[in-house]
Amino acid sequence: MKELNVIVGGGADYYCKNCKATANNFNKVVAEKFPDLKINFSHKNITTPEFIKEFGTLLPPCLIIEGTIVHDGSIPTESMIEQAIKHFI
Amino acid sequence: MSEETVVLETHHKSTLKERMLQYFTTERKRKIYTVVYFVILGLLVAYFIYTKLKLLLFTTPPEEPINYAAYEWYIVPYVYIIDYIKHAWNSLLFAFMLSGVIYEFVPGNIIKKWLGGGKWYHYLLAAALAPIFVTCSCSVIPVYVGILAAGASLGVAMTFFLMAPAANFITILLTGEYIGWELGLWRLVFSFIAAVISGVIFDRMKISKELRKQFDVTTNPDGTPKAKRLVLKKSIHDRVETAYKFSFDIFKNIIPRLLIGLAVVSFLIAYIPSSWVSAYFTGFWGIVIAALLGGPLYTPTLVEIVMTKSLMSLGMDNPTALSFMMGQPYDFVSMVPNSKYFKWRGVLMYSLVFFFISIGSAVLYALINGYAL
Repeated sequence: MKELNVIVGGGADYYCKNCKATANNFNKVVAEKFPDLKINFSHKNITTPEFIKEFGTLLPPCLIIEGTIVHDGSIPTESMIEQAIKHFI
Repeated sequence: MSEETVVLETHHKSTLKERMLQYFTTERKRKIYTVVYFVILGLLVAYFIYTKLKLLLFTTPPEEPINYAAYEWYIVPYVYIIDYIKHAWNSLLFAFMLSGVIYEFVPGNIIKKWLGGGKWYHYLLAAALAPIFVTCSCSVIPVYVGILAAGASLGVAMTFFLMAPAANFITILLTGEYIGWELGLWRLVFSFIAAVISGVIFDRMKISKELRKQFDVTTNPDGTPKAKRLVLKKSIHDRVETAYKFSFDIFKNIIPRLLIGLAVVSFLIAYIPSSWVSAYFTGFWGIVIAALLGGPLYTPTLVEIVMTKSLMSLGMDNPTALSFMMGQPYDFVSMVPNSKYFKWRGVLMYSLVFFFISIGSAVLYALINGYAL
């Protein structure tokens, strides 16, 4: 079973409304289009110095798959998430 | 058995629902949404222009003011809200939809790119860019950190965040449409001046340099982050979907608060005697009282506009209205989170700047337009 490490980044230490919407969209796409994929979700605060060192300054909500920035600044649509997942599997 | 199944399937007459489902595939639905979105936006723009042309070309008799006190107390908010919707629906919908378009089609990264240098003109750029961006509460901190990490001074960041609530796109449009474009323009210009002055002064304060050290985040020696970026293809349907969701989110956040605010304002307009408003909200002391109320009287921007309009109909003069509306950035609720980034010294400084510029701009307006002080 293929695994993907996914980070949802937001402006706080918890999942805000937009982070939740990003994660929900992601889960929906996985459930519908990639049922065999295992996702390891984590959430990060994008305003910490550690995060900025690693990924630069991003706008929330942002989506990072396998250490690659996939999207930031708005909730990614399902078709964009599907495109991104296809790139990594 | 399998042959039978095939035969049965070919003879199966699909129902209307099934045919509809077959026709409206996800992709086709997205195309329809895109067309509908632009048609609605186009109609709103056309209606907006039509109302402006109508005002310019035809003279319409002024409307009779509604006597709200004549209604039962529980009917007052209902009548007031209906009247508000009748007058403001076009501007409100237009502002909500356009804010979504700006959010999606104006790249957020230009804030970081254009404000990062720390030069004198960055204060002006920060004040000019802020009205375009309706920053929601969860993106305020990241944008702030982003600007600082890109090399901007704290003063530039302060200018941006003072200007954003004082004169964002929705506020300007609603002030212009509901109160008048002359006052709306004065508000915009003096908010701009106050925000720039606050930012410049803050950068001259010792605390600004101390705070700045916290944000000296280095990425790679060449300034780029280590992580790679995947560029996704973003179709027009994706963009419309994001713009629509953003507009709808703002709508959902603002409308309940707006309705509650309108209900409160309806009681004020129905039961506050106009002699009282004329006595306390006119002339020089009216301007000072209005500037003082700007702080403690925390109201959402859209409600504040309606409240100002209501007080004006009860006798508040234009300079006092201007002073009252300029108070937005130094309300108590914004001061607490802002003190985290600018410390209380910074908050006190910008509050004083806005307070005195509120009074100064209103006095200047009164002198130019012949209002008694």
